[in-house]
Amino acid sequence: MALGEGAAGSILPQSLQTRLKRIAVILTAALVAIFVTIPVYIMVAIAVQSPADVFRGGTVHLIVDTLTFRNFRVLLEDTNTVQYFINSLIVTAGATTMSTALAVAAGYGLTRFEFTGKTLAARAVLFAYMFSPIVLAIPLYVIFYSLGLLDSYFALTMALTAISAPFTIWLMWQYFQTVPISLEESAWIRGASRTRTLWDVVLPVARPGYISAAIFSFAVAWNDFTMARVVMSSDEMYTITVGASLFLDRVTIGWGETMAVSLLISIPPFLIAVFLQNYLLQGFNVGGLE
Amino acid sequence: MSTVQSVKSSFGKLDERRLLLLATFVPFAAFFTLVWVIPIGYALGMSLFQNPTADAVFVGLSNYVEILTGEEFLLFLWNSVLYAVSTTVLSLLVGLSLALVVNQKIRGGNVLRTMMIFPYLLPTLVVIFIWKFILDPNIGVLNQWLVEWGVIAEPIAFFSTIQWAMAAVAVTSVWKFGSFAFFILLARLQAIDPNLYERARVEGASTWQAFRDITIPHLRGAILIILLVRGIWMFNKFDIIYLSTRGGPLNATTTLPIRVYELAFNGPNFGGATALAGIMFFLLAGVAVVYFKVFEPEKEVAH
Amino acid sequence: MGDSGEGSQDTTQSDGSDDSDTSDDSSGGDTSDTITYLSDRGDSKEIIDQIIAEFEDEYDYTVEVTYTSKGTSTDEQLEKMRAAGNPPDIIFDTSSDAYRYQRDGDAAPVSDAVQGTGLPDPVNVDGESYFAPTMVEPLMGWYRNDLYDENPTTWETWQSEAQRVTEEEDIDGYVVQTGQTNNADTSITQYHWQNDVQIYSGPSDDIQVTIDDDDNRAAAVETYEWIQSMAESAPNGAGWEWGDGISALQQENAAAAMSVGGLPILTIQANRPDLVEKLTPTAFPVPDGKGQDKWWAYMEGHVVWNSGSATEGAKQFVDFFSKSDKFMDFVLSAPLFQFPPTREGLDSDAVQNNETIQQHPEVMDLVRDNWDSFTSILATGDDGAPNIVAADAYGQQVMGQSAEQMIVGGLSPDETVDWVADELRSLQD
Repeated sequence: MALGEGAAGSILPQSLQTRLKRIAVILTAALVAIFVTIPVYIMVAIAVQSPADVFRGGTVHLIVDTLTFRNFRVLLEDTNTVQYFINSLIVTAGATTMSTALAVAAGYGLTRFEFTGKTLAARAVLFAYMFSPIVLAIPLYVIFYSLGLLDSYFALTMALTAISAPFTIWLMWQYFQTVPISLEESAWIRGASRTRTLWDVVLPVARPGYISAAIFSFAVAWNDFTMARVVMSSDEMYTITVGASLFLDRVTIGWGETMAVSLLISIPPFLIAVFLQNYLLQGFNVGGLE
Repeated sequence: MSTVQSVKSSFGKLDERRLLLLATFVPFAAFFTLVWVIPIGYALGMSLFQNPTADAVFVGLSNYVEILTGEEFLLFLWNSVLYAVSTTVLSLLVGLSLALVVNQKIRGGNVLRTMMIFPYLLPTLVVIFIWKFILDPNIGVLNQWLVEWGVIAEPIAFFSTIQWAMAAVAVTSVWKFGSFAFFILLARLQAIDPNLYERARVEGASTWQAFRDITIPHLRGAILIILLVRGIWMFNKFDIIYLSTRGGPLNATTTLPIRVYELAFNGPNFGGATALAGIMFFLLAGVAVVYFKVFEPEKEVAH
Repeated sequence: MGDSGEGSQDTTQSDGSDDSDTSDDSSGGDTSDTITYLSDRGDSKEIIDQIIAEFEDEYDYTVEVTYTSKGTSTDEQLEKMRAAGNPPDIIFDTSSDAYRYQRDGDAAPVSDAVQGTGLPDPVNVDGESYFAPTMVEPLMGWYRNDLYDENPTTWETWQSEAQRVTEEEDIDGYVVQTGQTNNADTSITQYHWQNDVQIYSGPSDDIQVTIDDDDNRAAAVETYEWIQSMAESAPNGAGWEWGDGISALQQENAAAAMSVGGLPILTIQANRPDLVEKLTPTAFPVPDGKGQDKWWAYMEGHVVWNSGSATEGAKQFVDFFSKSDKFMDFVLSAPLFQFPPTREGLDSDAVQNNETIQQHPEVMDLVRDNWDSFTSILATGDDGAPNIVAADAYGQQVMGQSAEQMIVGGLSPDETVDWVADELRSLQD
């Protein structure tokens, strides 16, 4: 497909196209800002007010005039929130690291090495996602029970890795295909080993790719409910999603505590979003080397 | 998996290469077998039994026949397709347009990017709580505002009204999953050599043409894979629907996964539940085989 | 250890001698000194831990609790554990579930903990008790005493008053919950009971669906007609669970709602303290001239699984639990919502002196005055015999669905009765 070919777009003059683009950009940005901010703001506003303030007079008040940490205090004093939270952090960190590392290595292997059945194997892996996970809880429990792996961080980390890895591997496989082999070739010619090359040349280039793989595996692990419910069976080992679902249906727990725990659950995602998005936008900075 | 010598790999040392492959694929294969292959095989096995968790009786394919001939199967299938297609396409469109916007290096782009990734990282449980506070007829602020502004006289129970329930669930889903397409496509946009655009401009290509001839081909593989996996996941999506409507009102939002759950734990008819999961699996697999044949999503644009 | 289960089922059932001494009934395994205990009472975790600590001091067992959230998650956990051959030893569940486990040959008798203790004995099969009750949770309605001049009480008055409130005030008069939720299912069932509809009849082993026969059809249609007319003075309550009805009261979108016990007042106390004094508890509306003779009350307690690995220890724990001096603390960990399982318990000092209960004497009056009509859904066979069809119908919320078929789906009251009768019959086998 050659550039500059006649197309529908070329009916409009370039200056108008540029202006349209600018308007579209601003409009979309504004819409997103509203669409994302309002729901998140609602959560925060309810978490930091006492329920009696939120609901006074029969309407939901979202303007925070009296700040209180009452809801958080209830969580800390009456529930195991801290322990649940730590458990979640442990397995999420483990699963994110493992899944991303696997994806980088496997994605690179799939791109750079030829072996028979490569495409077929990679496609077959995706078929796992087609089975409704609802009915897998029982088989999984049976397997982990038989292996004596119930109630362990290791088992949950492993299971969460297995859930995200098929997709992260695909992501990296595709991503590496956009990285020109010539970069590596020139390193090899200079005498660098394959591992060295992978480390020094390939990884930096692949950064946006593996950052998005990491974001995905983080989301899978942090969001997980089913797996934690299968693998963990004691209160000290529950992750925050399972733990919260346990205390949130108590008679004494209301919307204030619900939103407070939601806010706590949102902190790691927020930090991840702030930190990783910078790396995500490091951009294609090796173009000149080609 | 046997490896054959390739032209490209002649630069590296063989043992190093093998080591890398082993280090990668062996642990993955082990996890994968343990967490996916065996449980799926086990579940498919259960689908051939009546009461498989207690006093199992082998019944062959009769669970499948019973499910497929059930009068509401087609309705549930239709709901699943409607939900999966609408949420997949919408989240792709949302994600794509935002990725394009953020890629423009506009002022406040950083903040926008953070905001956009955020919803995808929130657990569904939290997403549902938040959306309940928007759409609920009693505590939902959207209803409160609409009534205040005089748009509606009475609050609308979005999750309880036949015409609204599916749309309400879909909007909630797109809110969460739009960012999935966003951050993957953004990473891919970052990988496009800016020189390509520069060269195109020099050659006199318009914005639209550059988009069509450079951006879209570079995103093709990512878009295809997003459509595929997002489609599969949305077809199998259970939690977001169950937590917001439980499949109601009547069967307006009862998709196949909701049905699987009802069969498994309300019935309980675990044989039927696994059979339905099997049917969904074969349906999706059939679609996927065609999809792979036609689009070859793993093929990336060559450099 | 787990595989001792299947072989021992027959032993348990044929062992049902009238002798209530079950110590020699070694139906389950006793290979482990760890008792696994499945409970959805996170509310009472602290007290459960205390009771366990006391038990562990006295006996050579340790108790491991797996908490589940309310709803179906206990079933899910149980299914998983069963499939792995690792069933729990004790399950905290409703009497209906206990009966189902017994029917399937999975429950071990706990007669020692029940018989002769004054506790009700709702799951008694061939002289053996399979369920040790710990609490009852009766349904109850709440209405706005500033909008309704007095308790409308009868169907007819509720109908006209709810209509008046809806028209005159900026609020709906009533709530009609429909769909696959416990709130909808319990209230629709209770409406039928209020109109003396015999949904079922027959002894435990021969339960017949009678809701559409000559004697009951007219009354059942009448019930649905009344529900339909109330729905006109109510917001769209499709898919509403307890919390939704309570939100409607709290946000002043409805002036009355049927719920369970003091749950609404506990929630509203936290969110709208100003509204508390405007709410009064009430029995369900009843047709003019009919009595309040059947009042839905959940009964929850302990079941011992017969194929676990510490069955004997589990029985001892259940007995210990029921007799523990912390027992009343356990029940009162959610006051106004959970009540003791016996009349003596209800009249005990612990209940009388409970601060929350003292604040709402009207609730206690309703509970005390109607104690004798409290009925669990299980006890709806002839003379209160266990009714497994009703228990299963509750499990799938058939009654709640029937109202949704009518109000959302547009069936006439007559067609709704046909629909519900069909659904119930399909559960019969």
